[in-house]
Amino acid sequence: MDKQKENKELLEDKAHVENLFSKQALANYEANQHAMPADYFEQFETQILNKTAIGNNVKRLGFKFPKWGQLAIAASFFTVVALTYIRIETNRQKNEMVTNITIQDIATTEIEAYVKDNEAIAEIDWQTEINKEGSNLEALNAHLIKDSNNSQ
Amino acid sequence: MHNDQVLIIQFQQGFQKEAAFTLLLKQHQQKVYFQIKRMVEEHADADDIAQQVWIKVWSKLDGFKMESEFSTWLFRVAYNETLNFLQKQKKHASQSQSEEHLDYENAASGSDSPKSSQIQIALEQAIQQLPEKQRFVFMLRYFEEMNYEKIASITGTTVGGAKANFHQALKKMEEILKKD
Repeated sequence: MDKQKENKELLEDKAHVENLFSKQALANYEANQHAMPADYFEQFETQILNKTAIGNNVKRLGFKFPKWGQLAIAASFFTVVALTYIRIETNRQKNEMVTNITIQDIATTEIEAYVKDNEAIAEIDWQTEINKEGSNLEALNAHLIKDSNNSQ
Repeated sequence: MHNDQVLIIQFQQGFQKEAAFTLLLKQHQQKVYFQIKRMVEEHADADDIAQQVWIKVWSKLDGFKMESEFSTWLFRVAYNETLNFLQKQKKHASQSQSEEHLDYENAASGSDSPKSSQIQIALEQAIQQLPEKQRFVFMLRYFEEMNYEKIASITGTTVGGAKANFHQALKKMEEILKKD
């Protein structure tokens, strides 16, 4: 819309309002809006600048901490991540070694030492031990039957 | 008169940031304050809202992309802050409305007040009864003499919507006048 048409439209709108109320009433209304304490705008300016300066200082303090603080936090974080990764990776490699091991990889001396340590367990005659426990249970059972017959 | 764009660039580049902001404040604070005052009537309320507006401008100006004029953006911030205030005030209004109205009428009918005529009272009452958006548009159009394109940007509507708001406001005020 060109400027001339825009101005014409504005004048028409204003005339419409002024026909409804009076131009004087509208001027008075506006004058009332302008009633305010003396030096208000100068004081307002100072107030705002004080507030923004406080905000700015707080912001600056806030930025001072993160500059080195954030770096320290980031460094610690990466150290923890790196150490965890190294630990996991080492364990994984150890496990891989264990699962991949064959009997040929174990030294004869190690096998002999293992057999020697476990000889006591290997020499137990399991069948004799089981029979022994079985006869104990049978004796106990017979004793219980005898006791119950006596009581009857 | 300093160019807004130059001041904003200075502000955004951090070059004499406070000086640039002070000049923007000096250039626009009155218009913003008066627009808010027309909406809320009380000086103390207008002052509170205007402070919030300028603090918001300080904190958000770095992100201002200059896609619109600074004054349009500034009035949009003022519009949002004023509407927020009026909506909060509405919640508490029901109990104190009758008292305020009485005070307002007494003030309006004072003999040495510039609002002494009947038409003056009618105008102020009609303005008070307008819905907030229509009132804002009416004030921008009549007192700030803004074009509809700018009003539309400020109030987040279309040019047609802004025109409709102004004419609905006029119609409503006409009806209020007839009732009285």
